Amino acid sequence: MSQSSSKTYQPTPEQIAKWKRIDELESSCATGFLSPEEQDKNVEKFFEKDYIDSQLEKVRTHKEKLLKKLKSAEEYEQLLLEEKQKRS
Amino acid sequence: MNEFRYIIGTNTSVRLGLVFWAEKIREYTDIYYQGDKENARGTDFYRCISKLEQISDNILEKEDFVRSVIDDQNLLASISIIARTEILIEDEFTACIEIENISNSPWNTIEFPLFEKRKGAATSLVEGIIVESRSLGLSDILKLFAVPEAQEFYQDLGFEETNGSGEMILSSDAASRLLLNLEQKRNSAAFD
Repeated sequence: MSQSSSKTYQPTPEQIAKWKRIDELESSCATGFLSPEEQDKNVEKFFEKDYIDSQLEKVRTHKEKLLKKLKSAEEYEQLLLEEKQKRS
Repeated sequence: MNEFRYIIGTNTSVRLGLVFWAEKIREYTDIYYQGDKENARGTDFYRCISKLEQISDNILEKEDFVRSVIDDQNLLASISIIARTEILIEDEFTACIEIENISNSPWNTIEFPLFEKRKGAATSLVEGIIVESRSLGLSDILKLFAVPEAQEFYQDLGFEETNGSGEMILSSDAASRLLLNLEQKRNSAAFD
């Protein structure tokens, strides 16, 4: 079946007008409250550094944090294993 | 009607997509705003830059909550960070999904004609969030804080303003109407 033959819905002129309006308005879709100052700060920050460099920095900080958590989980695991051994 | 692929979480397409957005933002700033970000102030493009920075700041901590759509060119077209939360409806706390941040791609926010532009990305993302939530048996009520320039768009999708602060809610019934409307649009030849 061709694509056009499967498109059987006949929209009303109002629906077409609304769909067109939604498409036109869509470029303004930003959500989340930000004051103009916070917005300026974000834009400033974006242009301060190369994006890849700035993401690399964030990824490394995040990785460091995760490694610390992993180390802590491993220490706890070891402690529990030792306790279990003592009691058996 | 443009079709988009809905992505849950982050993957290579999303990560590379954000790097490409950053590259394009610099390119468009040079070409369309004489290399000065101040010339873009107050535009949807300016808000897109701010959102990209905000989303990039949060993406590592909240990667399970990232939702996005990829277009037919395999480009990241719209991205959001969602959260599961509750709202008070008739004195009762009701589960809902908050769209904390959403942004369209730089080429979808800039007012100049660009071949990468694809209409319908943000609408498709909202549709994906509703469908995903329903398929998991979770609440399909959506909540967001729309910037003033975005309120008309969300009203047209069926969101209602709650208290004048920019908070808007899409009820379960309105979500059903939106899905039906998009299905009808998809099944009509009006936007081919």
